[in-house]
Amino acid sequence: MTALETRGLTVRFGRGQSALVAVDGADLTVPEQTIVGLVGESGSGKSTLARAIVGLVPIAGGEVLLDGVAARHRRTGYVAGLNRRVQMVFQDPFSSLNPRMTVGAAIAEAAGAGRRASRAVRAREVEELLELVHLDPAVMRELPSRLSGGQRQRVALARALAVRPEVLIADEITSALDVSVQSAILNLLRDLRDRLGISILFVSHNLATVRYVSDTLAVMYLGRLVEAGPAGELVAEPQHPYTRSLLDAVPRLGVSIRDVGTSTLDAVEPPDPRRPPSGCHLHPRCAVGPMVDPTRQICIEADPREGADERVHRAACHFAPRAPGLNGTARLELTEKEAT
Amino acid sequence: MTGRRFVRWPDLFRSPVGVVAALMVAAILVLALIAPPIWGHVASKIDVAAASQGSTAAHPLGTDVLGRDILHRTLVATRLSVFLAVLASLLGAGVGIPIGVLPALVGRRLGRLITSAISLAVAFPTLLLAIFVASIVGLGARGAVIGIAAAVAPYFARLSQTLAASVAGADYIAAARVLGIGRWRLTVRHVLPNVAEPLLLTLMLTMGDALLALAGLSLLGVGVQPPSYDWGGMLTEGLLRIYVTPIVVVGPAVAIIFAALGFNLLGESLARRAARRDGTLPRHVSSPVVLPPEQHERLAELEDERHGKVLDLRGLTVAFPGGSVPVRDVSITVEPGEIVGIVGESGSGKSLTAMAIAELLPARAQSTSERRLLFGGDLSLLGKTGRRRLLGRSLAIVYQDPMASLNPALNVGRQLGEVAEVHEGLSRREARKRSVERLRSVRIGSPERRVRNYPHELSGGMRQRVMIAMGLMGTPQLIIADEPTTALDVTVQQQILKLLDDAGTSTGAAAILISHDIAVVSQLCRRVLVMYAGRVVEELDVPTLVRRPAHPYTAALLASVPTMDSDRERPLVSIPGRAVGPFDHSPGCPFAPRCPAASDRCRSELPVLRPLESGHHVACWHPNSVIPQSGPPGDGESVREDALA
Amino acid sequence: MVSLVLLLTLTFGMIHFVPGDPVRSALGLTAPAQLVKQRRAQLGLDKPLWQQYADYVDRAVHGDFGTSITSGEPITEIVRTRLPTTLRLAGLAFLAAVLIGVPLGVLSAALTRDGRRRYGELAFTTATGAFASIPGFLLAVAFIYLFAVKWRFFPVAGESGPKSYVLPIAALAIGPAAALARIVRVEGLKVLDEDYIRTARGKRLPARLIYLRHALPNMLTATLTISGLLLGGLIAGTVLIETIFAWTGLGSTLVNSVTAKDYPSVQAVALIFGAFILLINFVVDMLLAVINPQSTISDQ
Repeated sequence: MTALETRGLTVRFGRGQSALVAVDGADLTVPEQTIVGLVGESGSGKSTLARAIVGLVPIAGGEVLLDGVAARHRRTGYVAGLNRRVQMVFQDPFSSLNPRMTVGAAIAEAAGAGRRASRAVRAREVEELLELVHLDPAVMRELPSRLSGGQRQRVALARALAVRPEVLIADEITSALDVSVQSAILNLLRDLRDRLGISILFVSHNLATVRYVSDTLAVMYLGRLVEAGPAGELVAEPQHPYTRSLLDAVPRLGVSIRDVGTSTLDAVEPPDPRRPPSGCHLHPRCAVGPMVDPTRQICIEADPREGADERVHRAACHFAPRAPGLNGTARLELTEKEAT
Repeated sequence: MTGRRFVRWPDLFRSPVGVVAALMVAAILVLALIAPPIWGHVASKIDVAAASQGSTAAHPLGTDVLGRDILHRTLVATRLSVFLAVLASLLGAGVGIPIGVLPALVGRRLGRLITSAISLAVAFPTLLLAIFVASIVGLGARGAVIGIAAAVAPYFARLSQTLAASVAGADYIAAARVLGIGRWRLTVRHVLPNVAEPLLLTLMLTMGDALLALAGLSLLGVGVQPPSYDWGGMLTEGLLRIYVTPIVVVGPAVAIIFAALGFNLLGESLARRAARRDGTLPRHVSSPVVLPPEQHERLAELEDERHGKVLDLRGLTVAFPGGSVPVRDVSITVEPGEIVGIVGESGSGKSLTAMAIAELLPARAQSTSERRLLFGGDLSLLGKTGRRRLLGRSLAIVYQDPMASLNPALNVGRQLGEVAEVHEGLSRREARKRSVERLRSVRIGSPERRVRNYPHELSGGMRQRVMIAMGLMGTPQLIIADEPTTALDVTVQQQILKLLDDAGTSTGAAAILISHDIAVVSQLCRRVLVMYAGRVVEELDVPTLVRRPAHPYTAALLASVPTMDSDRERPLVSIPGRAVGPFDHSPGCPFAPRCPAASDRCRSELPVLRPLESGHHVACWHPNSVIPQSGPPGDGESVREDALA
Repeated sequence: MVSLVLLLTLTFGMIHFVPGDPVRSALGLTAPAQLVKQRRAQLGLDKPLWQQYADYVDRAVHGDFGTSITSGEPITEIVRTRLPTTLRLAGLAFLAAVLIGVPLGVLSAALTRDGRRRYGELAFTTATGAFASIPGFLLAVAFIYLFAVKWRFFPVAGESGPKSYVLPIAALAIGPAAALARIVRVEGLKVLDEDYIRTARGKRLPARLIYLRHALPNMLTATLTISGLLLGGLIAGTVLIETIFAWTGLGSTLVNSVTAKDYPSVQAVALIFGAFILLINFVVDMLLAVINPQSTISDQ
């Protein structure tokens, strides 16, 4: 019942020794009518993953599936066969709209892309779309330079929704907005999920925001997915050491910095993404890894993603607990949880 | 469909230079049209008796070897000279622009070859290239035009290449591709309109240069050949007689300069207008600064509380020419060893307040304050050197963007060491030693090696540590941290905040932490000031901030930002509308247009900071009337109330 | 290296792009056929194309530039005697332009940053704009008229002693100096607006240090690039200035050759000038790589 899925998606920049593997074999699942939050710090590959799905970045391996059907690739590695069923809204509201095109023209162009629709029909659709994102239809006649950041993001949303996508990818769309404006956009996303039945992949580095708006969460570190599960559960009981450190690092309202413990992530600088550590990428900085417990050599030798299917939240850690029940049921359990 | 023009012609007339240039070009174009039919005859009239004369009553600018009047010939020559220049420019642009777009369309290797060819051609001086091409094609007007076109084309190619590349990388192009918009439509509707303006402007500038180049070619005998005559040709003839009748040079020379200058100035002022409209050029307004009249109700204060404070600032107002007042009547006090937070969104004036405290405002800013005591003393009483030394040693500043705030051309050690060298007279070696120690104290590994690194060789977190170390080189009594962690990852953020805290405790310095993130501020500070639209609207301690903020804005801010403990079931509060800008001088509370508790009094009378209880001041007529965590459900920025302006 | 090959090929091709018979058009319609044939043989125009190219490159590398169509003399000789003159002229003018333009630009940036001294800025922009627009040859003419004819301070033409250098260099250098000052000023303003200058001000460093140690090194890149282009432009400018002041340098040689249709000479001068431009570019690129430590390293 999944809308969007990636299997073993890999994105590589450059060649040979100095190649950068920005996304390393990602298995991401975006179920229908669900908001999936994709979190990670800079260099985690989350934005690259998003851009690869919509065909803006070439894929070096793996595939993208929509409703169970694998998408076509171009010879150069770009995903091409999604036919507008997946759309994207970008981070910077100031460069995502053509400065010389009015709002109405931009949305109408999108509405007419690939279809034959009369001008009147398109004009009506533009009005409907603007109202869907809670903007005054009079905005149609304005150039983007007259609008605020929050308004521009809504226009970008309307434009993306004009082609009636099944999945919407929101790449850090609130990061460039003022905090008091962000909440309106977040509320809007939930609204769209309910009203239109679309799925949303919400990419962000802001954990509090992602936790709030998402139904399920996926965590990335150095190109790999390390944990994925229902949002509330994952935050309450993180299974992967990186997720734990990440959650611990988020500033809590009213909690003094002196009461916060030191993270092992402090002790070691982040590795060069071109030469990631062997086995588990986190092992030099892991709070429960070989640096702390020298017996855990497996972290240096073996890729922890093997066997992830059997662990809670598909955690990519050798020492994360297994899901209760038999091997094959782990996945089933997760899907049931997602349905609630 | 859009109805907007590329260039707003009326804009042009706001600057005197623009007006003059436009008139000049207009005059030239008119002359080019009407001169030959009106004076063509006179200009060609041969009068051997009056040959080779200087300035006379009948011929004010002299005559040429055949007795023809120079003045009239100059006027008539306008058409040919301008026509050739325009032709050469258009030809060059017509050839150059498509070539510049080529590398983006063809394969990688071929594209690189084309790019190097363009670079080579650009490096080659225009005149030389023109001469060489002209010598191949043949002497005369045709050769000259083709020569100049060939010389000018590389510039257009380079320009169009750069423009195409910059547009191609823009998000709206990516969005259009994802929307499945065809390549043709993409180019015509999205790329072209955004590159047309700079290209047109360059074309205008090129016409001026082409004119000069044509004249130069004619001077060398490579340009227009008789019996046709253009300004360049006339100049050549005139030069032969310059020692006898110098006046004959004046006509064509002045004409050439006039025309070239006209085109160049027009192009430049159009470019300046465009830059101003896009916001890349700051607005220059010459009207004097007007400070708004304020009526205050003063806070009662105890006289003996004034001493011993690290910072005692009262009534700070910062204004810019043109009526912008981004900081209004702000008062802050900081006790020794205390960490005070300033919270606000962008446009609240918090950063400018910090810069004003640090005396780092730009020159055109005007700041006034009722009282400003730093480290217990009035800085304006100190001499220039004294002030410099005091601030250099005792005030540490940590900025938001550590990459931009460190000089990319100097290594870390230099930038650290110079503080001690300049303010404490340490030698280079001693300063270097101290730099290494400070780097160690901010927990940078192998500091002896790091000291030689350049900023780009360090990670974001390390750079910020370097900035903190820089502040610790002296003996800081106050640390001002302006959004120190906004540009950093959350795990790095935690480290830096701890470091800042440690820096304070180990040196005994006080700190001012500025951020838009309430959670961050609440982790480090004991006391917080909330700023909105340039004013302090609330001052309270952290426990009260978290539980019972009194000002509706603070309450709304808390309720609208998701935290790790927010209830996921309930919609977030959002604040409708937009904050007023620094140019707004309407009476009343700045938050009134967006406040659910606003009354008529709020809209007409400005509330000032008043104590609510000990250590809690609010600037509001109806404090505690909005309960946090239960604001209006649904969305902000509602359909009809949106203010577009 | 690729550029060098390109240059050689283009200059070689020059003589073959000319419509008609280059030798005939150079010597004129009335020249005896025997002479034409002789010169053609001298130039090797009878041989197959690829052979001509090989010969050309071979000779060029060895410094032999062939023979002039019109005078019959070896071009290498002509070049050898005249090149130094051009180099002197261009070199001194370059020095003058840089020594005037760069400090002027820096000073102007320092004095007019942040919008202070608006009238000063206007005066500077107008003055430099005017001087940058007036072509060198017009300035030359004006100077000759004023300082040589009317007021007899300097000689009218010819290369004869230090006094005779003043007018040519002034005419050649003033325009570029003004252009350089403008660009340096713009670069300077950009740099002074950067955050790291604010940091330096925050550290309360003396103004001298802020400009010399913090600002200047960051302005070097643009200044260097522009200076390279400028030098190329100056070399082009010698063409006109030498003609006007009757100096016998390569520039005036070029003009004479072009009007006389002496293509081998034009080829040779094109090759030499082109080679110099490439050399300048190369040196500039080298220097840029040295002063920009981050050009090869990319960040996170």
